[in-house]
This record gives sequence, structure tokens and C-alpha cells, in this order.
Amino acid sequence: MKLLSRQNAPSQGEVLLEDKAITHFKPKEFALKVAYLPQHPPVTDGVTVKELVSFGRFPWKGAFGRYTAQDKAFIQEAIQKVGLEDYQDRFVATLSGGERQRAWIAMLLAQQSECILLDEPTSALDISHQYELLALIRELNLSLGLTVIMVLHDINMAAKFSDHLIALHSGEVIAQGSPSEMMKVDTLEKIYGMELALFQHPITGHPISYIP
Amino acid sequence: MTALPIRITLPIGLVLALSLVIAFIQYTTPYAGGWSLLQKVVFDYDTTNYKELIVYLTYLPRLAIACICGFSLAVAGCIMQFVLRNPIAAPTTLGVASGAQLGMVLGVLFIPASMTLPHFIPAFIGGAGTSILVFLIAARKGFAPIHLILSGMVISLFIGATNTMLMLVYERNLSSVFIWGAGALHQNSWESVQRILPLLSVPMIALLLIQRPLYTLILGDSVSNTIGNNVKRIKLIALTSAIFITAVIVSEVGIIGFIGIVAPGITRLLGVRNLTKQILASGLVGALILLFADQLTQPISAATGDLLPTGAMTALLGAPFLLWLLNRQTWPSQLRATDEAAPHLRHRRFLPLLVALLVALVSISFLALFVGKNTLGWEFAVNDTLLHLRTPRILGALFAGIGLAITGTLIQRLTNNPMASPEILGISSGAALTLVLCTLIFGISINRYEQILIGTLGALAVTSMIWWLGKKHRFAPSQLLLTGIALSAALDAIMRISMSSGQENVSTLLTWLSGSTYLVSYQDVSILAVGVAVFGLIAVLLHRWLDLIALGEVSASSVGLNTLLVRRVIFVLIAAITTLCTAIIGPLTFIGLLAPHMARALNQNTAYKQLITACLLGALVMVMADWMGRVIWFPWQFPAGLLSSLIGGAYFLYLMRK
Repeated sequence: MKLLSRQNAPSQGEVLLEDKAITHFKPKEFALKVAYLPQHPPVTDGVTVKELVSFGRFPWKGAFGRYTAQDKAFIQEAIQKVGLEDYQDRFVATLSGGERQRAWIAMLLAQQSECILLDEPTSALDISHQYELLALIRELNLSLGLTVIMVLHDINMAAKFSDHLIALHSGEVIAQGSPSEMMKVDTLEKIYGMELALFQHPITGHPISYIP
Repeated sequence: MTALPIRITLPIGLVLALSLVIAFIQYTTPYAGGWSLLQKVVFDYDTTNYKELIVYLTYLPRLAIACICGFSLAVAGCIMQFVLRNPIAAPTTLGVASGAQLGMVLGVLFIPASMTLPHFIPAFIGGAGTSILVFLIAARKGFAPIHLILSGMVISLFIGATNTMLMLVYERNLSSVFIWGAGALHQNSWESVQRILPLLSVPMIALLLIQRPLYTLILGDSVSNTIGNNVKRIKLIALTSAIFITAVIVSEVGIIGFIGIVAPGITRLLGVRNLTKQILASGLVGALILLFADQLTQPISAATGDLLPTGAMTALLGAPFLLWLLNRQTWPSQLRATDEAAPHLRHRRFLPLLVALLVALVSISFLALFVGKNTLGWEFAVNDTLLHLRTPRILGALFAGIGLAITGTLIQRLTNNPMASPEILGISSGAALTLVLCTLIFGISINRYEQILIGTLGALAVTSMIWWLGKKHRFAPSQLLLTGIALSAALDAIMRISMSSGQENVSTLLTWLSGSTYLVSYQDVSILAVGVAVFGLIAVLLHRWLDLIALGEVSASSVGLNTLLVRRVIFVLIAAITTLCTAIIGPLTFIGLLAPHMARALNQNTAYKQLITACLLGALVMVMADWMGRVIWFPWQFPAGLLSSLIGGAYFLYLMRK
């Protein structure tokens, strides 16, 4: 994830985006293509939700460009999409974990890049917030056509909200495919190194893994 | 250049130093007696031989005291570095030394000579008091290393300002303190050794007793707690012992910098990992370094006839080494400022505040312009000559306040550390140091333009040094800060030593150093005004960068900020404005720290609003300090910088305790 987001430079090989090595992009160009949310977003002292979201317009306007009515509309739209309209003048530091995460997602949305990278976006959240956030991301993915790449540890969540799963172990890809291809007893055993069993979701019929 | 691995070069260096010390002793023994005379004194002491008497009463105690001080300071440094997990924690960086100096000054001034109190007692009280203050402040932030170091630095600055003020007022009584302050090791009996040995043995034994629980601290506080350790108590005992050791040494021989930082650093580089061995080894290394420095000092001192303090030599040897150490070490992530609970954030309208501040600034400027004191008392004057005298200095104070407020905001935003300030980067100390050195070396009282020129050159030299050192770490904020702290500690030590030479020009310099506005001419003001306006405008225009860079490397670069470029540009801005302000009105302290804080306290959190509010506040405080300095001690004057340090320091302490 850090290689994809250019936080770390590859020691060998290269990462290509649209047939161009990502190291060759200028910072702002790259930000227009790829937005990244780190696992632990930084502490933001004295920044309101609205200000945070407007940071997302930086790659479009740079240090000096005026924010036009259109930029403001994008910012409002992003805030609305994550459902933080009532909180837009609150300070990010005073929000709860789930709300804070949503504020950051709104910033990524305002950035309007084609691809979003999320590094364990749900790790600090309880199950209802996890669901809320992943459902939101999935909806944005479907409605706006965003490419979303995220790291998740919960296989059931990953299967429910993704089109394509890649399992990594010690830096190697050990399995990949659609959720239905991945949710098989032998594949799961290969991934987790332990025996997992499956049952059908009583309503949707999707396979759910559990520890037998 | 392919260097030998450090594990090989360092032992070679140490052995070399040891043999040099042995050779030097041959040379520096009185009456060219060499080792044979020493041998005779030790094994077959003849009190009737005056040569042996001299060796016994001055030379041997000096050797002994060098060994003891070196050993103890290194041990204290080692403990502090281990407990605080910070490789540049040391007695001098934690404010103990300047506190002891304050105690000393107060002791000389206010304890009547008839009370035969040994002079180490006030110094000890001062040193201990300062460290308690530093720890109290840092305790609010859970002893995060960088907070501890920064509060140490700030307290040092504050106490330094108080010291300077006292020295300006009581110049004649205090010249002896200057020399003491720089660490002179000369002895004339065994008295000092006899006095400090028992005092030092108490903390040493305490440290020996707690070394096993102390070593478990390496696991981190929470783990160490779960294996049944009372972490707080262990830390308290260890740090108290270290401070006690420092205070004893400082009160006996004065400030000897760098041993406490350098000796443990060398020990770590030698690959000693076990704590007990580390303590012992760094003690030995420390003793060796101080002996070496002292042996180097003696011949120079004898040749020039001046009383050259050994502290001078350790600073000269230690500063380059420290920089080299900082440059090659990688820093643990704990050195970053830790997350804190959200402060009380509130909204406040920007415009009304702006108007209120502007009104206050204009009225205080008019007050300063028209109201003063004459021999009869208060006076209101609208008079051309007076206005001509007062206008440039008021404008100078005003623009300097603005400039320093801008640099302070930039540094605090860049490093994401609310306690950073321009002085801490060492740029202003660099300017001050070059000036002091030039005055002392050329011995002439330099005029105003040379002063500005030389100050600028010094500041530029330090800036390029920080730039060069920062390149390796891509201008990472914490490295930048730590490099700056190391540099300014080194420069301050050298400066103190230069001051101890007691030349005539020194007290004039002291005035400049404390940030005076007396000498400011219209021409200076116009340079300052143009510079501050241009760079300030750039800073305000770049406010979006400032907002983003505070998010940290990862998030800032993910929205497309070229963080390396931004850091460089901001650094250049900081350096430029600091240089301007320092060259024209001296190394003012505290406005850079204070103004951005006050702006935050007034709930102006975005970069743009914070910058502008801080500018107005900085100008306000400076003009006020300048005016107060003019009237409080009439017909003499206090430099504005000193008063603003005092106002700022008091406010800072209040802020930290809140």
C-alpha cells in the first residue's frame, strides 16, 4: 500500500499507473490520479471539517488559485455524501473515531482522484461504524465509478464489499480472484494457515466463513 | 572516501587520546618536572620542596577534579539519555546549568558577605529549582522527550534573560560570575575534591542500587509497569540523582557542556549495550575527554596569560562531534511529539479581533511616541526632536515583532511542535556568536554597519549549516529541531566563554545581545520594514501550504504537496526573516514563541488567520516592551528584548501550567 501511494520507493521493480511509472508523476498530477488515506490519519489541531475537506482541492488549485463556487460546491457535495453536513464547522479533533474517518473520506472525495487507496480504514472502528463506512465506500465506488483499493483483515467484510480480492502473505500473492472464487475452504486454509469452514448467509446466500 | 567502520576508528581514537593525555601530562607538570616529579609527589612526598608542594596543591587536585567531573557528568548524561530515551538529553540541555548560574548570581547579590555560606548552596538550589520547573512543565505532556528538551531550552532562555538583566543592573558585582560560568577547573587545594566526593557518592550509590529495575525501562513504560516495576518512582530516583550530580558539579566548577552528551554517545557507538556497563564506560570516556580538554587548555592558558576556562575547550571539541553524531544517527519514532488530548477549540470571529488588535497597536504606538519620562517625572510631549529619536526605535520594535511572529508561526507549523521558536534553530545565536567573536578577536568596537553585516554573515553561516545537515533527512521537522538545538547549545556555550574574557566591549555587546532598539536608525528600519513586508507577504500568500504541511508528510503528500520543496521554501523564509531581525535589533527571544501561541489562545487556528493575528500581537508586545524598557528604569534603559523575554516567559509558564 505504501508503494502504491508513493510513501515508500520500491527497492526493485516499479509501480505503473496508466503505463507510466508512478515515480515520474509530479506530486500534484499524482494526487489527481490517486488519493490515499493512511491507517492512522494525523491529529489535526484546530482544523474544522470543512477546512479539512477543502484541503482536498489543493491539487486542483495549488497554493495560489482561488477557490471558485464550483470548488465550494464539490466540497459541500463531499461533505453531504459522507453525511457530515451538521458537523462541518466542528473541529475534527472533537469528533468520534467513525466521524473523523468519514471526514477524511470526504477529503479524499473532494480531491476527485480516479483511484482511492485506503489502508485498514476500519481498524479503529466498531462493527456498526465499520459497516457504515464500508457501505459508504462501496456506494461511492458504484455511483461515481471510483477505483478503490483497500486493506482489510476481515475476510467476510472484504468479500461482502469487494469485486476482487488479493491475499498477501509475507509479501507474496498467494491467492486472488472474485469473492466467490476466494471463499472456498481450501483457499481460506492456504491464506490463514488454519482450517475455516463456510456456511450460507441465510438471506443473501453468500458464503460466510467461521471457525469450526 | 571510504571510512573505516566506527567500531575500529573509535577505539583507536580513544587510545590516541589517552596517549596524548599521558604525553601532555609530561609537558604540563609545573617546573617541567614531567612524570618523574609526579611520581615523587605521589610516592615520596616531601613538604619542604616547594616544587612538590605546588604540584601537590594545584596540579594533582586539578587532574583529580577533571577526572571526577568528567566521570560524573558523563554518568548523569548517560542516565538522562536512557531514562528520557533521547540521545541529546544532557545536563546543559535541561536547563540545570543556567538555573545554577541564576542561583549563583542571586547568591552573590543578596546573601550578605558576612554569612559565610559555601557558594555551591545557592547554585545547587537554583539548579535543582530549574529542573523541578522543567519537569513540572513536561509532566503535563507525559514527559514526551521532545517536550522535555524544549521546555528545558525555553526555561534556559527565560532564566538566561533574567541573568542578563541582573548582570546589566549590577555589572560591577558580578564579573566573577562570568568566569565561573564557563567552567574553570583550576584548583589551589584538595578542598574541592574533598567537598564533592561525598556529595557525589550519594547519587552514585542510589544509581547502583536501582540499576536492575532501571534497565527494564528499555521495554517502555507500560510493559515495564506490568512486570511489576514502579516506573514513575524509578524514573524519579534516576533523574533526581542525575540532576543532583549535575548541580554539585556546576556549583563547584561551573558549566562544562557537552561531556554529558558526547560521552554516552561515544559509548553507544562503541557497541556497549548493557546499561550498567554503559554507565561505567561512559563515565570513563567522560573522564578521559575532560582530562584531554583540560590538558589542551593548560598550555594555551599559560601562553596567553588569560584564565581560559576548560569549559571553552569542551565546547570547542564537543560541538562538532555532536553535530556529526546527530547527522549519522537515525532517530526512533518516539522522538516525534506525541498525540495530545484535544485542547478546548472554539470559534471566534476573525474581523472583530483584527480590528481590536489594530486599535490596541495604534494606541500603544502613540503612547510610546508621545509619553515618556524626564527628570521631573511623566511627560507628554509633541516635540520634533523627541519624535525624531523615538520614531525609528518604535518602528524597529514594531517590524521586528512582526517578523519574529511570522518566523515563529512558520516554525511551529512546519515542525508541528507548539514549543518551537526561531531562537531554537540557532540562527540568531549564530549571528550573536560571530559578532562576539569578532569584537573579541579584533578588539575594536565595531560600528553599526559592521555589526549588521557581521551578524548577517553569522546567521547565514548557521543557516547553510542547518541546510547542509538537514539535506540528509529531507528536512524532517524533528531532525531540523534537534540539529538546531544542538547548534544553538554549542553556540551559546562558546558565547558564554567569550563573555568570560571580561573585555570592555563585552557589556556593549550584552546590550545588543539582549535585543536593544536604541541604535536603530531610519535606514535600518526601512531595510527591516521592506524585508519583513516582502517575506511576510510571501508567508501569508503561502498559507495553504502551511495548513497542509501541518498534516504531516503522508497526508500532505497524498493531496499533492511537494513536501520537500515546501519545507525548503519555508526554511528559507524562516532563515531570511530571523537573520533580518537578529542583525538589526539583536537576538530577541520569546516573541517568536509567544505570538503564535497567543494567536491560538485567541482561537485563530487556520494558518492565514494565525499568521496575521500573531503579527499584530508580536508588534504589540514588542512596542510595549520597548516603551516599558524606556520608562521603568529611567534614566537607564532595559533592552526591549529582555523585557519581552520576561513578559513572554511568564506567559509561557502560565500557558504550560494551564
